[in-house]
Amino acid sequence: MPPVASPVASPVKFDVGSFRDRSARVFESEQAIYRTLNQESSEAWKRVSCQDFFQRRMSTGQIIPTTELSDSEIRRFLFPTEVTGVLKHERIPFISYPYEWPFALLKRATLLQLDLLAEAMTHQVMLKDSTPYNIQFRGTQPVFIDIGSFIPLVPNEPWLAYRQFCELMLFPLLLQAYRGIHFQSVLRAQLEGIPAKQFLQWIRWRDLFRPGVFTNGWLHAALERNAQQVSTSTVTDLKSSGFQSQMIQQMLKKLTRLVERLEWNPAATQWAATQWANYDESLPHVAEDLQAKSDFVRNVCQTHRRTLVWDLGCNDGRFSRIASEFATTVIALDQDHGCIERLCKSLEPEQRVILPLCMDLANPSPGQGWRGQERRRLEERGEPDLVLCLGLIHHLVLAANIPLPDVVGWLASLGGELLLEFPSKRDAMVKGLLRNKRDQYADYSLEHLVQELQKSFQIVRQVSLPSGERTLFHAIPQGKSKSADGA
Amino acid sequence: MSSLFAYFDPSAGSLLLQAFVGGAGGIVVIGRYLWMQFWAKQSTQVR
Repeated sequence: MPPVASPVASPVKFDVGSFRDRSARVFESEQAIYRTLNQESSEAWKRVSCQDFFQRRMSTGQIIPTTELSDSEIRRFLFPTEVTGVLKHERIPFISYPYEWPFALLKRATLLQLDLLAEAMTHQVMLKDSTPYNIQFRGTQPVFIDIGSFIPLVPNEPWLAYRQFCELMLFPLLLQAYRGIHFQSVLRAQLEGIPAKQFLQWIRWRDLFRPGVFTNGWLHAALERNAQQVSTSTVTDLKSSGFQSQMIQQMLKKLTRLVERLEWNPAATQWAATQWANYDESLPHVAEDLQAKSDFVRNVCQTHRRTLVWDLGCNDGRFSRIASEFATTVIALDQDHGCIERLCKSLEPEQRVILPLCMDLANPSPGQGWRGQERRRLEERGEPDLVLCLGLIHHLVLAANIPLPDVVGWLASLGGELLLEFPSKRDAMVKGLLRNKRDQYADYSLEHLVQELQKSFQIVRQVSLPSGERTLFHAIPQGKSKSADGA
Repeated sequence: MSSLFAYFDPSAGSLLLQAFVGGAGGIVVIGRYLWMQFWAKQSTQVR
């Protein structure tokens, strides 16, 4: 029985994204993250949480550090009657989704999932689902967050989550590794993942001979097609036929070997062959301005420590790295998958500050899923203290055709201080963008930018870079000026 | 211990596949499974 709530207890409001598994729902209160348990999941928690492997993985950060609330703490909240226990999780600094992760991060998440499951099975514990949404990142380090996923192993029962594993983790990785198809846009459109049948439509005949495709793709789809007429429970029938848990462990070993060998090399892609991927090094004016820009960023960042910094259009992550010296979390966003992949691989796997994500800022992640609330839009996942917008505004205004006042308005809506770089129309990069276009961008001027900035920000500092064609701004949102100055 | 079903459909095909790739033991499981399906079908037709 759950403890009786105190008269002043507040009813909990569950996270709208946690409805799928009714036995372990999540809610947030006073900046802390909690998970309710029912009778079944309470028993599972008691059995799993005392295991050595579980405690060890929590201490190394591979499983989210979690504690159980005492009865007196539970009384602060008013729960539905089925709730019998409550867990408190350590907070993840920034929630990200698989459709934003580069290949390297989905691969790390997949290997963690396989590794956890393989070890759990040796302790008679199972993971009841297998979705990358159960994993988050601290920097580039994956953390398993869905404690409700651990359940006692039912001996000799097949792995129920294998299809989910393929559709949300394995097939996306295979498509990018073998076909160069960016899985992010597919996973963003299909939250349940890529069915085997659809996976095969993107695979060439000769790919059937590449590791993992025939068995996990072709045979999987064929069996799904042919097993549709079966009316009895396949789980029960397989158990009666002598299925053994050991077969799952063999399969996990094969899947781990397969995923470990998968690579996506952005150097071989079209993106990396363009000047965008390396433009810091190849364009003379950028090289000339680089040092001054780095100094400017460092000067602003070192004034005080920030909790959350967003680096919009981070490119090779040079400024994310500078910001990371003075921030708890830096979210490095760029639409160029090659840049993000290289940045991700160049960072120490154990670092917990910079999180590189694939994001087209002219079309950032929207609210998704049931009622558009299951997966939150980018802007709803935490207010940045500082936004770096370097080498980006001309792409948004001149390439994506977003009016300059809208861009500034969006930057202001983020709520943080702003570090903005503005290249004039005489800048080589801007000329390149306008080379084959009608110049309909009368609003794209330094004077107009200053006017727009002053509507929402106080401009603290304005500096021209040595090339003379680019200007840097440090701006503070109006109303926050005093607190930022005094910090 | 009773079976703990998931909140999603695992699909019969994905479950059978695990026996297919389970080595020699898995082939025996598949053989038994198909034999059970065959007899279940026969008994339904006789009725």
